[in-house]
Amino acid sequence: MKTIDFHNDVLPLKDKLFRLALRITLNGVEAEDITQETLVRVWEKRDEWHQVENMEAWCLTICRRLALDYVRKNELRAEKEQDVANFQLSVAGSEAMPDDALDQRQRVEAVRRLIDQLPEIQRTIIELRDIEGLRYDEIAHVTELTETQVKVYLHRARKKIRELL
Amino acid sequence: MDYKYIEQLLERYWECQTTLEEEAILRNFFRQADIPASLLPYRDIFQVEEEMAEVRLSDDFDKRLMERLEVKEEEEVAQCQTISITQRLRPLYRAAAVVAVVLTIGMAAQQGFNRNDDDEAAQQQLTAAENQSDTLQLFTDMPEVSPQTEAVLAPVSTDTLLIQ
Repeated sequence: MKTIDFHNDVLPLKDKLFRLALRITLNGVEAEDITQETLVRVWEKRDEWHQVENMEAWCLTICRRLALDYVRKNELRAEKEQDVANFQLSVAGSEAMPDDALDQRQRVEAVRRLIDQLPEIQRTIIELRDIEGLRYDEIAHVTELTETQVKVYLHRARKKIRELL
Repeated sequence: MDYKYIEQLLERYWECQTTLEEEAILRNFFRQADIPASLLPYRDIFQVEEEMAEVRLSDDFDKRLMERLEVKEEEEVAQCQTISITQRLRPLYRAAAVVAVVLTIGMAAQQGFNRNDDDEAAQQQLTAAENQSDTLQLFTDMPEVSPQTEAVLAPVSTDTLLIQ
């Protein structure tokens, strides 16, 4: 059995954890705190590492639970999307963009806003599948759903996005 | 270029029937600059997702995390040391408790024996005293002896016995 090392196996997951927390909370500062808390809890549970089959899915599950706790306490809504936009890497400044590119930028932002306004479970599954590239069984593990349920939610999310395009 | 394959993949993508490899093909396709007009609208979703995938934590995150873990580790070590000393002394505490219990039982038993001996002695003394008292009572209660009886009971000299 592979021995898991925190620095080599767990710490590299930090950005995935952060993106998931950000997708759920729509708040960059909180997402960073949740990411740190997730890694601390994973470190505290190092006696259980040998029992974990999929460390990435396990860490994402812990992260999601913490993020959901935060959302329940604070009842955040999609008006926080501006915080999310601030944490996105700016591909190109909009001021100097030609009209076509500006139009495309605006369309891209419209799609981003739409994703941020999806129900949490749909946002989470879009994040895990389309951005992090997880398999359906892994997503089912993280979200504590069945694979069928995962596909149903993903279908609904992609359908909404397609209607916008 | 025949974009039919891409269109088929897209249709399956919306129905959530694509594999991860097929979705990677779609992403790679929509990354390129030359996209046909009919497929251009779909580029936005893949571009958004690509930007989302590039989000990273701040540079000092690792440093802050490690500082927090170091504090936790120190707390755990301190806790382990306390527990270790306690655990080491535990057998000694057990042994002392056992000795105390044995001594207590022994002393209680010894007191019990002593009490029994005293009781027996006291009982014997009491019995002896009672017997003595009874004996005294016998003499006290003896009826008066007639002179004739007394004479019979009186010690007889040997001369008298010889004459008879």
